[in-house]
Amino acid sequence: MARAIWTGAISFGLVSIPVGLFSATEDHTIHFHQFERGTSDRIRYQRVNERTGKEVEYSDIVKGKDVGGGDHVLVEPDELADIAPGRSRTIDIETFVDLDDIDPIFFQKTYWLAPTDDQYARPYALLREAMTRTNRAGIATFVMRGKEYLTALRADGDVLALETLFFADEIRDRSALDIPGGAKPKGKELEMATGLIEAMSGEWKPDEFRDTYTERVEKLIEDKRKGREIVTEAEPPEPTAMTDLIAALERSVDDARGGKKSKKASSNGTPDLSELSKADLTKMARELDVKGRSSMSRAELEKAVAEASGGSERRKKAS
Amino acid sequence: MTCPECAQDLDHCHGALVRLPDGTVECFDPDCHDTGADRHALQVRIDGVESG
Repeated sequence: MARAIWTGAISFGLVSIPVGLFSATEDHTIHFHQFERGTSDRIRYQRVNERTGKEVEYSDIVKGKDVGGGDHVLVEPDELADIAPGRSRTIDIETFVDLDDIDPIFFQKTYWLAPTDDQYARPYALLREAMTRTNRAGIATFVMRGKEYLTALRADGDVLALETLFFADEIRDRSALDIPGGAKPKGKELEMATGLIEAMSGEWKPDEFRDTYTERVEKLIEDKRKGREIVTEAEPPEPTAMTDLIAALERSVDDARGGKKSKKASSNGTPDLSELSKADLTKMARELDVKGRSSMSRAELEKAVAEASGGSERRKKAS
Repeated sequence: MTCPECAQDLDHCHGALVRLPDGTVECFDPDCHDTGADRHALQVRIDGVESG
């Protein structure tokens, strides 16, 4: 059974539902330990008293706010808990809003709420079903680890989900981006782009998307563990020049409508080198025994492989 | 002093979360299995201590 990261109660009018809060998501990023290069010595963090140099226990650490002039005001955890806004053990629903009215930019992280005891299953289910029926989310605040959270409670199948939201003043002003304005797309460009979107449209199937970078990191580690040769990933594609925009869109629409998702091949069955990753080109270069391949950029590899494979084809034809 | 979150058997970590300039996050506790900010009472940036 997963352990809750917070326990308290949902306050819904006069109804109070004791619940535990559980993370609904997890980060699969590979976490590395740190070593000093050339050694097998781990780097460790320690919390030390800078005067005595001695390590300090978690329970002996209090927070201090710099108030200038080298002075700090020290605050105990209990003091922070005492001034926590509202009742820190309650998720207070203040209003219900249409779920579709919440701009995705406000969503921060998703949690699940579960009743802490079977006896609270009925009011829990009541709130869940009522929100499902109305497609409304309960806007609530609560305090966890000394921080006040703005949240949206919503029904998620059989459970209640809690989305932590950014406060409005935490959303940055987009005008700071300095987006060049004035040029409103129209005409053929816009038609082509719209057509491309239509041609590429489909159902949202999250299972079809994987964290391929993490998979490559895992493979890199496994290859190094086994002592195999390591290959590196391709460089990102070049940005499309403005003069090429229509041509690029036309090719993209053709590809999307034709369902071309696999790597292109030329009419004689050989792969289109421009579509291959640096890793693929390195592999081909190794098979073709291209000299100096290990120090080549992706572009140099593509050129060298093209020349070598052309020569190879000619040699095959001649033999 | 007893940790109140230990007393409530809540999922939390006594390590300090370290936020590095490249955006990666590490925990002082080598056994930490989840570097979510919501599990850590102590958070540190390498250029100073956060209020969290």
